[in-house]
Amino acid sequence: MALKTLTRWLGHVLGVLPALYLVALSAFGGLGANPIETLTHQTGRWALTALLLSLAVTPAVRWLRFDRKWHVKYLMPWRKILGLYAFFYAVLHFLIYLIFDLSFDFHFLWADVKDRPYIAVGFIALCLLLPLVATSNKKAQRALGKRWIALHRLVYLIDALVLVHFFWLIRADYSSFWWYAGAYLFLMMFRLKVVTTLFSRPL
Amino acid sequence: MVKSVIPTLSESEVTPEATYLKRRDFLSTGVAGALGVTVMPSFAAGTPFEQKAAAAKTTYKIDEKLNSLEDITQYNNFYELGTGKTDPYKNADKLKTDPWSIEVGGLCAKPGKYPLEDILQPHTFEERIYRLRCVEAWSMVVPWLGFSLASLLKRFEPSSDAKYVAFHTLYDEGRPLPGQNRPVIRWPYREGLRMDEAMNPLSFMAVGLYGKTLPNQNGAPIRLVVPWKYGFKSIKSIVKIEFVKEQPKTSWNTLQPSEYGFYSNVNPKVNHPRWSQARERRIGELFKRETLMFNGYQEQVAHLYKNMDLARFI
Repeated sequence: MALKTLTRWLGHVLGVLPALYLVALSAFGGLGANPIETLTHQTGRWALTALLLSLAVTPAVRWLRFDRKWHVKYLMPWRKILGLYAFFYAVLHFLIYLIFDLSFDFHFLWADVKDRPYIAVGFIALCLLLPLVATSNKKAQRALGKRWIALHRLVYLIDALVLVHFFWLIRADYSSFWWYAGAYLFLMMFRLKVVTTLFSRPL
Repeated sequence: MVKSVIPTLSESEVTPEATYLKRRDFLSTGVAGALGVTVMPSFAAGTPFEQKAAAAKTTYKIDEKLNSLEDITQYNNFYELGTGKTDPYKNADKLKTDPWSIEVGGLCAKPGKYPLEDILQPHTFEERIYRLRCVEAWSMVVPWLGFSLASLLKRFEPSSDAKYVAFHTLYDEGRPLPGQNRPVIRWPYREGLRMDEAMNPLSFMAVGLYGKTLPNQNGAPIRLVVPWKYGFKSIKSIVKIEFVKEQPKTSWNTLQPSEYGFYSNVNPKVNHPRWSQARERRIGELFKRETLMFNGYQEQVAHLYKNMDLARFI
């Protein structure tokens, strides 16, 4: 029990750390000449990072072959923590854009969603996260049963949309994008049945 | 004598930033006039560049707040020195500007390879305060130091067949700059203007900013400034000028013609396919402001495009 609480607290501490760092940078003028751009890019990157990390939890658990009770109790909760923090950073990312880029004008938002595929794709990804957040508690999980797993597989699509969103705004230098895309493809590989059976087979 | 000069200097008249700031102190806090006075004579001496910089008059200005030297020199798009906004500042020392020469060729009477000193020698310097609007929807206000492009180009006596002028940035295959190690865009960086655009009085060759030598990350030792076009048209660290008959191939246009036109005039009505150009963030401001047609230089340049459909000729 104590270890479980500790896990949760550790999750929250790690989750808010990037946000606190950005707040500290803002306070001390460390965001550079275009602070809004820095904040937008950073929150976007942390959302994507958390999404990819949450995608890594299940394969990691399988691969480590921990005894079932232990990993269900202490490792699987990271999937939820990381998922919720991905949403947290995605919301910050969206709010910064809405407030500072669009001056809170919903006409601009509609125009952007309508005319610019990369904005539309990012916006859809954010919307798709909502049902996952809403059903991230034990109660919903029990109520949905098997359908819960199917619903939460939406995250595969969400991650892909986020990567497209990222890809579409790059002007020429794709170097950092390929790291994220590579990580996604690598982690998705473990969703292939061939691979999962390979890794879950006992020695 | 000097005392009477100092207070009448306009806020924007050319001076290195240090003096700028000191004068602001003087004006706002009433620091002894002597502070400003002692700074002035030190400009009279020095290299020819410093002398010309000191003598420069502000010939063009706008009534907008200047961006700080820090912003102008630490937030740059100069892919030769890296693709991050602060990379050019960090890698600035990798660009060697001495010695420097410009190869002039093509349809002109006086082609040749000219050392930078010869390029600069006959020109007096002037300061021009221009808006700079990046295609990425941010902008700055920069006090450039230099001379008109027309005055430079005329020296090479371009022939009447020369319809365009092409520019190249430094690219030494044996000693590439840090950003040139990867083919992010095809090196060397190339840009070009139609001859009448190049001869427009607004087109400018900058060799300095804030009254001092151009920092490397801003395109030292000599760069183009065409304020009514998106920033990438204002090619940096020029090593080659060529007068040509056909529209020259330019870097961004070659990379993605649907997104970056040859003209690339600032136009709030024609969006970049992936983002809006209607508004921009002035560096130093939190919220976006409206983008002006031709970046606010409509009066000076609109006639260049009067029979052109600007939605088509992007």
